[in-house]
Amino acid sequence: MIRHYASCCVILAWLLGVTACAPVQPAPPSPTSQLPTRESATSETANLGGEPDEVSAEGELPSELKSLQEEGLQLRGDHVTFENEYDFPPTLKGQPITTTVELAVTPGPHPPMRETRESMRAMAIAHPRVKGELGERFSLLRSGWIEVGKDAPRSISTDRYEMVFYNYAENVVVTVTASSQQEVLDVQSEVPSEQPAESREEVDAAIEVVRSHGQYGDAVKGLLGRGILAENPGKDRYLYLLFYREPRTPALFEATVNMSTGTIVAARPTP
Amino acid sequence: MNTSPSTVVRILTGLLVATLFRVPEAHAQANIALPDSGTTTFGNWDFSWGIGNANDEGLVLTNVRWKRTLVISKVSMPVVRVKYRGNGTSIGSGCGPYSDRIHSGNIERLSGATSDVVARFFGNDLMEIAVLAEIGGYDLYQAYYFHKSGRFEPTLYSSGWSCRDFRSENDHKHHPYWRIDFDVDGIQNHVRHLRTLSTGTTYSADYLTESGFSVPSNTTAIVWTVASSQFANPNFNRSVRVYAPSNEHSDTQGSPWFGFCPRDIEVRQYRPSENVGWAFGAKGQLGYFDPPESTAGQDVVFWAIGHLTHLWSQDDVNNPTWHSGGWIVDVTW
Repeated sequence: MIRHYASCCVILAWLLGVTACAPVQPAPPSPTSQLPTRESATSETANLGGEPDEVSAEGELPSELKSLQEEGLQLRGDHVTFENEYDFPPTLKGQPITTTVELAVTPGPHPPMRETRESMRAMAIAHPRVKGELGERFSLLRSGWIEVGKDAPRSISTDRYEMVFYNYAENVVVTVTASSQQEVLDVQSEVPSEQPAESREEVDAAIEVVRSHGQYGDAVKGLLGRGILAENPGKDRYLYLLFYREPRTPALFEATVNMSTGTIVAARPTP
Repeated sequence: MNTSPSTVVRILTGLLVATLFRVPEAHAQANIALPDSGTTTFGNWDFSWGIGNANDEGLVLTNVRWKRTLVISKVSMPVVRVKYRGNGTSIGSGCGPYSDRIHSGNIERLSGATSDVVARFFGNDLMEIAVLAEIGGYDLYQAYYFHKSGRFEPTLYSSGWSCRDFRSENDHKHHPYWRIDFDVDGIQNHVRHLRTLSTGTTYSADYLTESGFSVPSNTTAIVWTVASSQFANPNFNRSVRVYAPSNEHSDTQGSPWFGFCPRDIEVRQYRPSENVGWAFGAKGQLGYFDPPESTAGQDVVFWAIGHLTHLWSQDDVNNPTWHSGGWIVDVTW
C-alpha cells in the first residue's frame, strides 16, 4: 500500500513539478475496527479445473453403472441421521446405544499422542539449534508422525516425527524433524505460504495476552477462552478469541490478538 | 427503566419455558476408550485408525477392508473450510474465512472420557469411531460409521459460532473435505457417475483425467462409482457406490456465497507428494490438476466435499445445536 502510494506520489510529483513527496504512514489500528479480520478471497476461487463430459446413459454402460441403473439411483437401507440436536456427543435417530459389544483392538505402535507431543516438544526446545531458531516467543502448532508412502516399508525405528513451531518475532515457521528415539534430525525455518492451524497451546498464549492486559484483563476474569486463526492481509499472525462463562453458552467477550507483536488489535464485549 | 406488568409476565413466561426445555448436561454416553491408533474388526469390516499425523487430518482410517478385500487405503478429513455471510456484498464479507484442521494440538476429550478416540455402538450392526475437537467457537465431532451391511459413512457434526456479527450476518457454511484414497480391490481404479435429471433423462460420465463435478440443481439423483479397473481384473471388477443424498448444493456465483466452495467432488491421481493434508489455505480451492493427469485405471483419490449451512438464531446462540453432514460409501460385494 505504501509502495503503491509512493509510486503514485512520484508520478504526481513529476506531473506537478514537485521535488519531494513523503509517504504517508498507515494509521494505527482502531481497537474496534478489525473484529474479526476480513479479506477478499476473489482471486483464489477462479481456477477449478474441468468437469468430465456427460453422455446419455442409453447406450452400453460399464458393468457397475449398468447394475446401478437397473437397481435405481435412490439410496436404500439405513443410514445415519442424528436424533437430538442438543445431545453431546450426538445421538442417532432410531439407534439406541449398546454397551454390550466387545471390541478386539490391537493398539498401534506409537506411545499416546499427548505424551509424545509433550516429550518431543520438551526435547526440541532444549536443543541448541532449535532454541536459536525459535527465539523468545514461540508456540508449538502441529506435530505428528510423518506418513510414509503407501507402498513404502515401515518400521518404528525409521519413523519420523515432525513439529511445526511458530517464531512470532520473525514470523517464520520452524519445522523440526525428530527420530523416534527423540533425536533432532533437521531444523528448517521459512516464511509460510499458508499459515498453519492454531493449537491449544497458542490459543492459551493469546488468552494470556488478554488476561494480562490492564484494560481488558478484568473483563475476561473467570471466563473460558477459545480461539481460531484469523485471516490477516499482512504477514503478522492473528488469533480471534471468544470468551465464555460456561461451555456451550453465548460468548461474552471477543478479542483479536496479534501474536506476532503480542498485542491486542481489538477487544470488546460481544454485542 | 420502567417495567410494565406485561413485560414482567413475558419475562416470567420466558424463564418458565427456558426451565422446561433446559438442555441436558453434557455427558459421555457409553463411550469405549480406544488408543490413539490401532486396528480392529467389526462384522466384515477391518481397519486401522490413527490421530495426530503430521498433516492435520483429524481421525484417519487406513487399510479399510470389506470381506478381507481392500476398499480404502486411507480416508481423512484434511480441512473444514468455513465462510460467513456477513452483509452478503462480496466474497470477503463476514468473519473468516476459516480453514479448520483437526490435529494433535486441538483434539479434546469428551466429558468423562479417558481417551481421545472413542467408539460407540448403536445396536449390534452399527459402529461409530470418533474424535472431538475445539476450534474457535466450534465443537467438531468427526465420526466414521461402519454398518454391518457394508455401508461406511464419514460424518462431521459441528456446533457453535466463531463470529459475533449482527444476527443473520452470522449465517455461515461449513465445507468439510474428505480425502478418500480408494484402492478398491487393488490400486487401479476407475471413477464414473450416473445422474438422473428432473426430466427423467439419465447421464453418465467417466472421469478419465483429473477433474471435479458440481451437481446441477436439476439433478434428482447422482451416484458415483469407484471400480477396480477392468484391465487389471477382467473377470470380476468390484466396485463401491458413493452417495451424498443429504448434501446441500455447492456454492454458486453471486450473493451471498460467491462461489466460495463450488465443487461437490474432485478426482485426482494419487501422488505421495500430494498426500499432505490441506495445502490451500482458507480461501483456496483444491489444486493438483495442472496439468490434468490420467485417472482412468489409475490409483485415484476421491475428494468428497460437504456443504453444511448453519443459520443464525438466538436459540442456537444460547444453546448451540449440532449440524451434520456426510457421505455414504456402499460396498457391492
